Amino acid sequence: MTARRTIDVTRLPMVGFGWEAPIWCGQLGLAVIEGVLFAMLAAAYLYSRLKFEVWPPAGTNVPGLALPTMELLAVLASCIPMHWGDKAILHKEWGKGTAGMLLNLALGGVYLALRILVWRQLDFSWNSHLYGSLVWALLGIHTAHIVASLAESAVLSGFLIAGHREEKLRQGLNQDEIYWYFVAASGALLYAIVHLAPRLL
Amino acid sequence: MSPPGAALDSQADAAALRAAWSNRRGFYGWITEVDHKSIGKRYIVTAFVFLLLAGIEALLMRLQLSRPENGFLDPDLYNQVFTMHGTTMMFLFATPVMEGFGLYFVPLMVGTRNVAFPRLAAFSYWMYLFGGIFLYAGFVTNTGADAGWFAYVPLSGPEFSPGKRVDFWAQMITFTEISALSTAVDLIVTILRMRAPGMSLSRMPLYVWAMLVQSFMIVFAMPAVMLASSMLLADRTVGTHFFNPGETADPLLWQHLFWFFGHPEVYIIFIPALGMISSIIETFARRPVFGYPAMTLSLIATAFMGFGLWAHHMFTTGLPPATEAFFTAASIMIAIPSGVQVFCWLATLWSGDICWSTALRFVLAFFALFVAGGLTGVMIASVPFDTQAHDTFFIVAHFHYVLIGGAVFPLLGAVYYWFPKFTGRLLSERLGRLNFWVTFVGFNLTFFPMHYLGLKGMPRRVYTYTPEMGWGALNLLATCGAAILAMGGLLFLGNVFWSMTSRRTAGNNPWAAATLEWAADSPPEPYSFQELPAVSSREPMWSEAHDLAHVTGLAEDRRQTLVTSTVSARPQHRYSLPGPTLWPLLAALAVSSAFVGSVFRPIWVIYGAILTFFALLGWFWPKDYWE
Repeated sequence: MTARRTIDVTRLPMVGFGWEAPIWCGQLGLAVIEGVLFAMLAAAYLYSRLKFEVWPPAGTNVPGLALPTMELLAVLASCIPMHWGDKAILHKEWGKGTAGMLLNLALGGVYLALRILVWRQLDFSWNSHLYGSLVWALLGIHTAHIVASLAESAVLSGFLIAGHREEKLRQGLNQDEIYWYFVAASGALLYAIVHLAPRLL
Repeated sequence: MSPPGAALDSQADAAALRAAWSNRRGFYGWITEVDHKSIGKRYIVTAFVFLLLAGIEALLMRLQLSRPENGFLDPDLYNQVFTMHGTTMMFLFATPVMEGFGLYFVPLMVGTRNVAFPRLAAFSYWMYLFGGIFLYAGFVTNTGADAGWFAYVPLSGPEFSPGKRVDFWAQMITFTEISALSTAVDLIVTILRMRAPGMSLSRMPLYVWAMLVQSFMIVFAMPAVMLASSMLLADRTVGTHFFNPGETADPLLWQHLFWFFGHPEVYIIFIPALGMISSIIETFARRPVFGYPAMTLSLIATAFMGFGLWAHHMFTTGLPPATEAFFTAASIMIAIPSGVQVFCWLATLWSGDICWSTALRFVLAFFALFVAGGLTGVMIASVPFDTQAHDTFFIVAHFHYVLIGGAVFPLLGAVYYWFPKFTGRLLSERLGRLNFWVTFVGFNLTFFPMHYLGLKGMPRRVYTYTPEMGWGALNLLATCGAAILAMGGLLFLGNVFWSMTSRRTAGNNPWAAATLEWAADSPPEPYSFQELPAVSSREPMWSEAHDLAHVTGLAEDRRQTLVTSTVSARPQHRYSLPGPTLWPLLAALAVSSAFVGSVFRPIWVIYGAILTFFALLGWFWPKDYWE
């Protein structure tokens, strides 16, 4: 009689990163769900646009392009320290990783501040007209994502500074990275819909 | 010969595993549970409670319609009852019950010990439960949704539906969609990352394939309705104009967003049922399902096509002719992958050695009923016919044949099939046969006459009709059928209660089935498998049951399992799972406070978000159970 066939996993690592980590895959799933939500909202915007001769409605000013463009540059720039910070943390270079996270937080903060300024430029509200409802919805949902993602990064950076070095924290930072990329990518979509579409369509 | 002391060792292992995977008893244990089997069972039981409620609502409607000019329900109550019936069936019964089966069986079938995110599974259940309670809290306080299960604007808008009724409906959508989306991601990651070593994608049981495809459909379909219902709620509570025709908004936008979800939703309910059918047919035909690649490709094709059909619900809204042609073609085309699967199952049965069980009877009834529903589906895919039949009882007959015949009959079969795994007891086969025939006859008596009533012009969602219309006799027949169908339901419940109290135990694999869930105990221990299995075939319990390879080297005193590669399921790393925790419930309460509060005061979105932030902080606080 032969011994039962076995597969010994004693020597396998306890954690994986990126696609190997279930939590990273889960975060990607969340990003896809929210991405579909944004895409649907963008589709609703374009669909509603079809009914109008003049868009935005007469008497409504589209916010200037300068601030939104700076805003977009800020979020795209913030992805660079996020990327190298996360890479450093994967290699357990904690100092460099913390610096990357903090730089990302700073640029993210600039992004949020510029967003608030863009918002204050609007001379209409969510209940002014259909255009107003759609723009406020796009800005509102996206800004909620900025706040959520910055809160996540801030909490994780706080743990880093407090000296936490758990594997779970490394995974958390690893997944925080793709969430921020999602915020940036959907920010680019938002720029195209809110700021370019009314000029081009 | 096993080495001396091996038996003793395995007892010690089992004791350590049980200590690591058990939860405390009592109420606190119940609210902190994160075991996929407990949560799956909770999902299923809760969904059946909602089925019972929706069934009672259906009976009330049938009583009202049993004779012309009946005064049993007034029009206002009738509106609420048919809306609650449809809403409950779709959002609180059909989707959640399939999720519950998935949560219970996917980890067992892929040979792992829990889902990838056990706390997310718990959170998902609480969101579902709270959403259901919220909707019914409205119903019992005369705030029952009354604009149809799809709540078309402008009827459901602030102008024509003042009050809170539609608000409750819209917010319930967000509850249940968050729940379903959470479970979908949980199952996708479990399936793609946690299969037993050796279980490559091409060796996955067809049921697991079905749940994978269904979960992807949820991810792409459900955000649309969440967005739509939130926009509707904003129109109603804070004065936005998303669907306001007075501000040149197009009310059809609602229909597009709703049906972009609503049509895939049919497949979200139906595809898990296809997986159940494959499991049942394989077991009771005593051979692998014929045409495995054709079966999996058909599932995937159905999912893709399912997203290209939504506008066939809108044929009477005046779509451009090219659009109508496209959606007609797509709607007819989806019959192809369904047909491929039906023929594969028939080939399996034809060449198999059939064992006549109650579970198989329910599946065979599926063939008759689903093909009938599919044929009327092809009929109404054609625009001229649909224009005639739209909003009549013909449509009611069609979708009950598809949904009850296509999903509920296989589901009942699946309960008969898997009941021994849940409980360790077999359901009575004799009572099962009676249950089957009464249900089958009752179903056809109820819904077949509706085809005819629809062709004779009887409209849906109208609380009564006059005697001159000549619809009385068939309506009475349908009501009698509904009474028989209800008796079928009672027989089912009776069988469940009778079997729970019976002493006859089922054993681990009473049907001599092929897949890994039957390698676990009945009911499974909290850790499911004492040693994680490894497989080298598609039917491990047939080809290698006596020599099933297994994984060694995982800790027994902690909750540990294995992550494997996506395509070929090679072991990659060990994976520690969290134990019982209160945070998912607290997070669900925090999110619920935002949802419930914002129906009354919009500012609660902000308060609830702050509460949710703290709940998530507690949830994700670094406690290193890895080291």
